[in-house]
Amino acid sequence: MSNGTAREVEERDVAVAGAPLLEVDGLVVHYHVRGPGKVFRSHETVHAVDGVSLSIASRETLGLVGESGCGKSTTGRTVLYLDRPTAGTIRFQGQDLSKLAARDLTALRRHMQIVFQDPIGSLNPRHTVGQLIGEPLKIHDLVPRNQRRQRVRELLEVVGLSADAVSRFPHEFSGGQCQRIAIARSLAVEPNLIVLDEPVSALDVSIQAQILQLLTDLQDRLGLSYLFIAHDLAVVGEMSDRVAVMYLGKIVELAERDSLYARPYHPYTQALFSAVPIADPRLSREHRRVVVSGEVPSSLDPPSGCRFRTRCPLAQEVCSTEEPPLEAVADGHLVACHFAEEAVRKDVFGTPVTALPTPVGGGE
Amino acid sequence: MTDELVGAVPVVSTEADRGGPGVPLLEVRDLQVSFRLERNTIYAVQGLSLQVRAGERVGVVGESGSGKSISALSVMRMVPSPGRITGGEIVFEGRDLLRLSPAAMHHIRGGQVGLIPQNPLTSLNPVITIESHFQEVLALHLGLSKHQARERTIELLRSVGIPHPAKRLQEYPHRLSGGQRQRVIIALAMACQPRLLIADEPTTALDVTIQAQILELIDDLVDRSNLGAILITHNLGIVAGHCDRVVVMYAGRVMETATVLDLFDHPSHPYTVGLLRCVPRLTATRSRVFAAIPGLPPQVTKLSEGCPFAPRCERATDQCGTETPPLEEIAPGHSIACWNPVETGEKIAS
Repeated sequence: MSNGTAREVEERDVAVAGAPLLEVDGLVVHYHVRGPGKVFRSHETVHAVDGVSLSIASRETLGLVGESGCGKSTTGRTVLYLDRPTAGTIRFQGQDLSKLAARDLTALRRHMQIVFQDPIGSLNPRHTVGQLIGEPLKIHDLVPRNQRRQRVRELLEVVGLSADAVSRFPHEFSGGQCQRIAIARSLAVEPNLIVLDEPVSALDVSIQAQILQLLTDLQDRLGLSYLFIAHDLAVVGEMSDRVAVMYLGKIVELAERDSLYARPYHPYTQALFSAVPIADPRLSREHRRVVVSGEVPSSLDPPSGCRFRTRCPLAQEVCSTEEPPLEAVADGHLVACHFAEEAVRKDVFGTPVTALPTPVGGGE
Repeated sequence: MTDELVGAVPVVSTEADRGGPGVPLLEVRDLQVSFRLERNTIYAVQGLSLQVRAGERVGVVGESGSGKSISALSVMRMVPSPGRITGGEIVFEGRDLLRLSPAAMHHIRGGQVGLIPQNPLTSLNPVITIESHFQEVLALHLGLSKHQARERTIELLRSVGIPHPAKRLQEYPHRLSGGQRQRVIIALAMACQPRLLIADEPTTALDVTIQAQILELIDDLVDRSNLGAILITHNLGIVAGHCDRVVVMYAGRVMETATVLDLFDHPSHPYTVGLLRCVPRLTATRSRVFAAIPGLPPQVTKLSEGCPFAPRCERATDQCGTETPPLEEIAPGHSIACWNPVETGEKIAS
């Protein structure tokens, strides 16, 4: 990147100090939909996100995990104000987004970008790669017109594509290459925060690793912060400093990465861990996992109290009447469960984390 | 039940072979599939051979474009145009499927061979009810009346774990969640008690907890009915827990084939080793280093000599570029196509 050197980051410091880059407090996103009934249409509310609070520091990656429909993508979109929140505040670099005029919001979006799951679908098929990556430069008027093409070439190089891609169309590229183009486009405006919404789940595992390595290297070089949204705990674990687990619009557990992976408290988190395929035939035959039964209930009418209680083997009376608050069980480890301690002790889903191997240092 | 319709071809294997070490349920020999396009020809599958026995789950692993899905579709003779099967044999229960008449093939497809296609969200017809999907299949293959079909459908939906199956009959696919739709598709594939089940990336579009449920369901069905199964996936992590044997494909060719235990204990082809390294694993701490296979899988438009993986291979030598390595057995049941295989215990520099 042309000004890459200026922003080169010598060392990744754990950025706890200072105000966070992004602060989300009590975020609620409800959608109103028409219910059944032909004459007297009833109105129903989709509780997509129901009171989510999180923060992301500079140069930090927060992983957001959950199954489809849990509100993780909605959270990601709302953080950028692509969707309007029903309630709650979002502060980016200290500014409350709800108080900004549309013009200021556009200007601020320069500093926050998003990369979507479907790499091919998120690129306009009628635009060349040069137009796709050049568009944000044009909108924000960052580079004089005659230098735009040069800048696009540089960006392509940053994401590991050859400069002659400029005049080609998205359909000429594979899924992984399209994701590189999407990443180049998001980098064009030199953002501080990138929301990565399932950036690798549509890709082959061999290509996933390439993209994840690219994202990691870019973060180190450019000092980016990521909100990394995914459903795969193995991938999230490699990317994140802290991890939040969402279920039906709520955060059920939020902790430092190592703390969560060493000791997941919430039964739902344990169930997610248990569902990750074990890439070892012997371990996977020995390990009698307990697969969580049932499916996520409808967000039109979420269960009372704890939302996981309908699938939770530890559920008691109190779980249906009282909503468990998100409380610290250990230093910086927050859990929303009435029976967190019991859940850890019993480990009803046979979470395989106790036998976690040390990192695969790219070696064997 | 449909044997009189395909009676012209002698039936060699029978019930007696089930689970036995004798004649496999399915044997694919030297399969060739190519797509003739305007400007060039894509050689999607070049000489695939594999066997599936009753009660056995065979994983076919490879990146997109490796020919794994096309191979599966070939067994059903459903290769999309302009693709054509240009050579080889597909022997299923003693009959070469490539020589069957289209009418006879109709009875194999969805009858004796069930297919679970990749995308559960688009594989059901959105404008007909769940019940109609089953009625069609059950009437065609088993000649069941509407009433019989209804009872069988309820039973099938129950067996794949759909709650309140009777209430679901009149619903349209969009009313079901992704996981539920995949269950319906599995029930459809199982409707006529197939002998062979082909699952093409059955869980790619699903959440992890639902993925685990679906894979257990398939395992369970294979055990219960002594089926042969082909599980196509790009993730070796899934293969580890849910397959007995594995075929690793690259650029339309078999690179390595072995039992699951052998493959994970002694991966010998550099491509297999690379794929194994890529599998996302749960680890106690993170390394921020991701083992990837550099480059992209090729699209084979020229039949040339040499190993197709050579351009991405860290062990490639001159020979790899000029001579195609044959698929040779290095241990009983373990074959590889490589000039410079990875020795057991040897660590590959990355």
